[in-house]
Amino acid sequence: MLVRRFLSYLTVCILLILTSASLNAAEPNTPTEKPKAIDKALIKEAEQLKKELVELNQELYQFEEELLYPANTQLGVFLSMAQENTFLLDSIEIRLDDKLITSYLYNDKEISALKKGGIQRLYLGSLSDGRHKLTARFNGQGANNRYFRRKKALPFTKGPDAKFIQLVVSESQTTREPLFKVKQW
Amino acid sequence: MQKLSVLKFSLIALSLIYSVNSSAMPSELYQGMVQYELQSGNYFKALTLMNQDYQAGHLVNKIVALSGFNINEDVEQLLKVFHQQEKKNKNSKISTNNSADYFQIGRLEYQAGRCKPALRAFKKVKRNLSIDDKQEWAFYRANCFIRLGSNVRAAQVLNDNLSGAWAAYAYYNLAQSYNEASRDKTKALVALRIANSLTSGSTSEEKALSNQINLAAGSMYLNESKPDLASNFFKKIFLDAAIAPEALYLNGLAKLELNDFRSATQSWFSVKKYPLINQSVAEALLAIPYAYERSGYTSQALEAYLKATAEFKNELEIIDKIDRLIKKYGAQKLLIEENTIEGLEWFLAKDVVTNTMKATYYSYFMQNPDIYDSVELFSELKMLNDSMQFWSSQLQVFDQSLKKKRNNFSKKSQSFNAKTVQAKIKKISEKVNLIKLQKQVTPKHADRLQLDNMQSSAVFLMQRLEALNAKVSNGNERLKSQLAQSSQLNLKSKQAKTQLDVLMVKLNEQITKMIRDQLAVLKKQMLTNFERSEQGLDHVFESIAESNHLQKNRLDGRFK
Repeated sequence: MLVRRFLSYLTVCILLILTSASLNAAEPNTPTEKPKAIDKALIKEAEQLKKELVELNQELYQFEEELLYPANTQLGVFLSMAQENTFLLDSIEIRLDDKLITSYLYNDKEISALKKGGIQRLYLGSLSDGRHKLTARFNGQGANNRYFRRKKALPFTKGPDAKFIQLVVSESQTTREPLFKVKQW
Repeated sequence: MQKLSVLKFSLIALSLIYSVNSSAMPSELYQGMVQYELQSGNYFKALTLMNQDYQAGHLVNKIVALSGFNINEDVEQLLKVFHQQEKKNKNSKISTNNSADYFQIGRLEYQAGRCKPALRAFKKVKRNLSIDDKQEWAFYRANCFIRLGSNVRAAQVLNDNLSGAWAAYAYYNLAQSYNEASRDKTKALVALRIANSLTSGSTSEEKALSNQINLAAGSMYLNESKPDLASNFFKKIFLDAAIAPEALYLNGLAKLELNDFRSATQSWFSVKKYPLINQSVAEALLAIPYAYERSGYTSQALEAYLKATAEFKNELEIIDKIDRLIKKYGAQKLLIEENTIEGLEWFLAKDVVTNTMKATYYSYFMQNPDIYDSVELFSELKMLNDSMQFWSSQLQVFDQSLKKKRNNFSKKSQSFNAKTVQAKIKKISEKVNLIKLQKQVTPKHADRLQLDNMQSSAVFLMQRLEALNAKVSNGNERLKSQLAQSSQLNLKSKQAKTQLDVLMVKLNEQITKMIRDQLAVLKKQMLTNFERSEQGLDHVFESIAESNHLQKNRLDGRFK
């Protein structure tokens, strides 16, 4: 009988301790033991390999560019954005001689990168000498949540040297409407 | 036919010559391209684009890219180089770095946990920052002061007409710091209120922060024995939030303190839909019978303890099962990659809901920063491995195309006879000369016949022919070297791929071990929960047994 009573007191005490712990703590219990971290030698090995692969990738890109897009036939299309710009570019379509060569859908990070002075290479390819036409279609939201779909056509002549075309998205100071300019290099 | 072949041949030769000077891109475009990749977070691509000249001239960008791609050993060295350059520049009073550079350095130092150099760098950032950058700048500075133990300086930094998510996070951190530093929670609660007013809650990130603010405010009020106020904050937390189980559990505690057992059990019952490996769910399972017991419902308490015990036992079995599976298949196959293994649909099943078995355990493991970093490294290596695979197939195509090109080239070059063309041009030139020398041809006639133009054209053609001849003799060599370069690169990429495979196997072993260790911790915790539930059950049985006896006052001396 006494043992039984003692046991009942003991369980009450344990329960009280446990519940008071959970009542006082504002956050639930977290594991105290921490599994071992990754081997440092392995991290070092991985870092070394990553460095080597960056160099190898540089060589590979250079080789591909030399082989596929020799400078005399090279055409590069780029996109940049003015810093003070409320226009939110959603997507862009680029056509060369009425054939779609590339299209791109932007996320917030990419738009932010463009606004911070980044220039995106939209297209790199080979093109024969002579007259051609480049058309860019911009879709996006301007000031006051107005939706814009603008087209910009650029007739140009490809000479014996590489040709670089930069599309610049800016904004009119007076009307705050998006402006699309073209810069040829 | 021959003319056509000559033309084709000259085109091939020209293309080969020009390909050497492929990097004729204007520097403004090139630098902008690197900047775009850096700002977009494509650090590997940014590093690939950076040539030696760029790296030498843009040290900060190189450090940022290396840090982003987790090549941390080089980052430390280059940061030292940067600081040495700064010292030199200070002496000579010439600084090549701009505000953006100092901002980046400050951020890197902050991320490395070095607040003093971070603050020094941030101090050099000029005040003409954009609104977004200014917020970020204030966030880092305030956090640095908090880490250095000066809440006053942190508050001063934030007292600057700020708005947006960065400022809200900074105020939240300040509130946490106030909470730890003082028993008086007024300052902490004011900081939380400001943080809340700065979040619009429009993005998922801001919603998460808003939930976190409400949880912190509720917890503070609960610790201050103001359960009614605490409950108001817990109720504001969205049910789809990651911290919803904690909020519901704490809300139950607040209700319990108000002696509202019904509401407390209701709140804890709603926690049951979340995965049990979240300790708040386990606490709620144990709290339900406790509340029943306190409100006098002994049989419900007994039932709830039995249910909790069964749930813990079931989860322990699942943990054992997952441990065996991870041991058998490894972390890569079972957790990191998407795989379909027959018989393991119960674990690997993908669903529209996010709390599938795999997702639950995966997010639990990812809470451990070491496991998170290791999995991040693994995914980087996987990306590099895929990239090497891609290049390997590309190089095979290049190899075949170059071999074809070489065969065509030798055929065309054999059919091309420079001497015949040279003789033809010479003949034309001589004919023009003869016409010019005739007595009947006056300067007027010569002008009308454009004889001078024809003569200069012949000279130009001769020059072009000489150039073409040179290209023909170089062309074969060039193709040969390109073929050699292609096979060399192919070999290099294959070697790199092998190295990557070996490293990934080693890493997978380590991640598997870490995850199994983490599972052991979870098992221990679950076992404790199970034992607590069993003890509770014992206690209820004891109470029932006691209630069968005569109700006597235990302190009554006669009973003793």
